Amino acid sequence: MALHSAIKGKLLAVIGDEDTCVGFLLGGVGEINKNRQPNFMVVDKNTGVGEIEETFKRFIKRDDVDIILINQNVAELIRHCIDSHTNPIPAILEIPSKDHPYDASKDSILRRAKGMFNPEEMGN
Amino acid sequence: MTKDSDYESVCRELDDLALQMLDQMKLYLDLLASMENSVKTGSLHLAKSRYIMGNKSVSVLQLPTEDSELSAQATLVTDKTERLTLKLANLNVSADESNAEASSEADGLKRRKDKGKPSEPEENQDAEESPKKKKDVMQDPLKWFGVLVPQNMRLAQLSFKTAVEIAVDLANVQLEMASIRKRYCSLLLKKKELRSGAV
Repeated sequence: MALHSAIKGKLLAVIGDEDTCVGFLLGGVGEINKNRQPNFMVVDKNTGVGEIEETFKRFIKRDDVDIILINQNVAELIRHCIDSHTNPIPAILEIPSKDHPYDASKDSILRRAKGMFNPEEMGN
Repeated sequence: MTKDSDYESVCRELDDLALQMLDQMKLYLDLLASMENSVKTGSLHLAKSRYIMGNKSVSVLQLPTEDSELSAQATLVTDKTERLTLKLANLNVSADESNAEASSEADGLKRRKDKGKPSEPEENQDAEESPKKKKDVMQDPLKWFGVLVPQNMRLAQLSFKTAVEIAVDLANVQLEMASIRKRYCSLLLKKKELRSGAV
């Protein structure tokens, strides 16, 4: 199994709006495996939060995904799921989209890092 | 005496880790700024190609559906030698395609020539076929949008390829931050123990 994954390489998964998905797939990250499961999800205004949450959890469970790229505005919808994921792999990256610029104060990773400088949170 | 020096060294290490964390946070924000830049440029080029090719010509409809098989060209390898780091294994989307095409053409010509020679074993040909079929699956994503795509589409692809590279760097910084945080927490506990021991 280790040999197999070493040859095949791990994947980047994408959850985002149309332009983000089209762009990153154009960059060559897209894959549809033998079980017909894609590693990307296009979120539009009709996509439900439950659907996003389900896809996110599925990506986390997949052992061939090492990085999950998610638009920050989409991440806001499933913040509780992102906050509860504490394992380093897969790494979750909140990326900006063309309509929503990046806001550092919302990023789970940076908030967790800032907690290190907050004595109350570290239980000192 | 030794307890005092232990306490001092733990405190110093904690300070070092805090500074390292600040450095990593700065790096993370810088990388995110460049990622935002690449995504913005890429989106602009996509919008321009949409303007040239038509509204529905650059959309989700062109992306491969679940019925087709697709292999990722940008994959990651995990390096666990010192600490966990991710590396981009291969990101040669268009170069790979042109090579694959060239080699398949060459193979085609060779096969036609070889047809006359009965000495060529059949099994060898079969063995050559299988990797070629795999290469066919790995096609340039630009082809999804047509054969003659505008220059903006290629520029968008370049921008998003840069964004993928930045994403890998970001993930590595994130892993580094997680390891610093873990070490900081354990040292903090040690500091607490030392302090309670001293009192």
